[in-house]
Amino acid sequence: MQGKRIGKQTVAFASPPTIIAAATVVGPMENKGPLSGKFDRVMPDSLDGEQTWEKTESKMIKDAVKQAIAAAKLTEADIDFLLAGDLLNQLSASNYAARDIPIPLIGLFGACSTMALSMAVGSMLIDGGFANRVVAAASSHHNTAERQYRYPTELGTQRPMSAQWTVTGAGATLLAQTGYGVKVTHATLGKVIDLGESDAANMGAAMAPAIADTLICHLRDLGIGPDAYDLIITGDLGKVGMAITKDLMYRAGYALVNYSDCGVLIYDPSQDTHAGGSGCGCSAVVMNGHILKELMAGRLNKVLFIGSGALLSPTSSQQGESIPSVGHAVALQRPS
Amino acid sequence: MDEKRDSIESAARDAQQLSSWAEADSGVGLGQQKVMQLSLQDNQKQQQKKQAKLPEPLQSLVDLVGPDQPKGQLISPGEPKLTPQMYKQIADEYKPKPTLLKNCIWAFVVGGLICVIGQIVSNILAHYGLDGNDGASLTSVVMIFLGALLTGLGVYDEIGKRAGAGSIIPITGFANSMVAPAMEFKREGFVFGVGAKLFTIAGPVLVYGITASFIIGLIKFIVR
Amino acid sequence: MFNMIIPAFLVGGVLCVIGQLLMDLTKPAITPAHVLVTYVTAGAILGGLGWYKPLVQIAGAGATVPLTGFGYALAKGVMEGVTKNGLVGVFTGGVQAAAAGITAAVVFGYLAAALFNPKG
Repeated sequence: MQGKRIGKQTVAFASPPTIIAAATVVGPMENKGPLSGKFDRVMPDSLDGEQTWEKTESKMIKDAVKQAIAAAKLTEADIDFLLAGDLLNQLSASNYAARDIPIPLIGLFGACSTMALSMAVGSMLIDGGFANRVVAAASSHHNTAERQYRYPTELGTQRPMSAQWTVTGAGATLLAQTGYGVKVTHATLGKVIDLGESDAANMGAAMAPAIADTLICHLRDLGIGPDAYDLIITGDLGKVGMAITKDLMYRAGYALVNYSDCGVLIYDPSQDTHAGGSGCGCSAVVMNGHILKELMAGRLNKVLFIGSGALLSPTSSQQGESIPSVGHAVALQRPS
Repeated sequence: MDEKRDSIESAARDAQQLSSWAEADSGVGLGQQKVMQLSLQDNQKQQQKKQAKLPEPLQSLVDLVGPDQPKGQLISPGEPKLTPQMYKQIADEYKPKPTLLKNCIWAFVVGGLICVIGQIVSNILAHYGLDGNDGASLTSVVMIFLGALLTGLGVYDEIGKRAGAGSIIPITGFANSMVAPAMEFKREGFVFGVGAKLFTIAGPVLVYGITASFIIGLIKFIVR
Repeated sequence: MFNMIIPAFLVGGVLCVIGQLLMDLTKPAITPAHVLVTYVTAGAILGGLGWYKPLVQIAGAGATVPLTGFGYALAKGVMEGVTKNGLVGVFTGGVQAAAAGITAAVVFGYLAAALFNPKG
């Protein structure tokens, strides 16, 4: 083990991998939110010149990955692995995108936690000496996810107040063994937890226990409190899940104050998304478009990013199954 | 050798990296900071509320997981200390209530108005001598046409977002439930896309409606 | 031309509010599709019992435009069919009465789906 494992679930990187570049692609709605102007590319509409929304989503991943590589002034030949995932069946968005990216692909499914999962696994590959540079990416598209998981977009249904809006966005992070940038110091991979919530329109409540579990595990493994971080940011719990997480953490003896959520940050309340954003793309674009920049600018020193994933399938939710959920955490530190 | 060259290259790249990050940082969204502040204030408020309710945080933990459990052990694998029953209570506390009154007013007004349109259509048809069964059939045909057209134009889902049942229950909503999936799955072809998806919601409606009518007919036939 | 407008508005509105309450107050498992199925079946049963007809006479389109009206049409049709054709009517009456609606829904549905594209 060479002492890289701490406690039950946490890995500490001996030579922390560096995020040397990042890129984001979003839809028009995401760019109208509070993070407007933070993204590298904004698509003019939901199709962006493609025939189907599925093709658009593949193109978004491709664009984000290529842009991240270009931003580091590297070429695809310099990258050892691409770690990517999305919400579609058989990871089709990532797989189809990877047709045009000559980098070995490791497809990952962590539902909306995919960005954190791919960053964690990518960092392990680098610190383990299996790769020099990897690209971690995740994407989601509002319309492909809606039609797969819920209803056709033109059906006149009412969304409950706890429902979240799938973000149209893709983000890519370029991790390298050396370089200048934000360091990934620790990663805590989470257990799958299911406390019986079965309402697919209330995923925040389904994911909150998994997030609380991973967060408690991380803090206990490292023997620190939540105040060791300037910001603890969860993936896409939304307003409801965020409130529950704070409650659970309080019950466990931790007061979360310096805490926020990508799903809450990405949309303005006036955008009528109800509980906030969700989807792989949500945390991918908020982390890569905003939080990393805040770290680089020195406005944040240490951030714990916990991606949250609701591992439901359309079949399982039709069969009335509850929603298993998972949280994966990566600790980020600004360059010194 | 290679390693050395790599490190020189990467040092050169690092220098460039500095500038590329600086470029990326040029725009700071003020709106963002406001949202962040709001959510931090929110956190503090919730904390205070909780503290008022539970004088000592650990007290509550002991209640939940038993006195033997060390601090922080809220949930452990295999055997969750936080049972689904307990969790349901916590989660329900935070579940936003549907805006029931508002939803009902919207449903009432929009549903009523759609029926008024139906009544006007039926009155006009009656004026031209089409009443009784034929009039009723033609009225449904016109309403279905309107529902399908508004769905195609992308208007019906906007109405439905507010009106809920007010636009689902009228027969225009039945048309919407056929067109919406069919249109969306057109990209999967005209047989398995349009043809099959027309009946995702309409299918069950026809199945239960026709079966019910069959049973009613059978009873009527037997007791006649 | 403006006959029965007010009763149509009131009865149609109330039927929709009942549906709204069904969706908002029950488990999330009750989807719009469940509500539609319930309404058709309820309309057919009420029609079969003869209880829906007075509502149609009072409210006109307020009772026939909501999907309960579709169920009522099926029930009314099958009962007329049985009176006219006996056992064959059990099979033909309902759908015959609703044929215009079903055909319109299929044809207009197909056309709309073929002509328009979803906006997302």
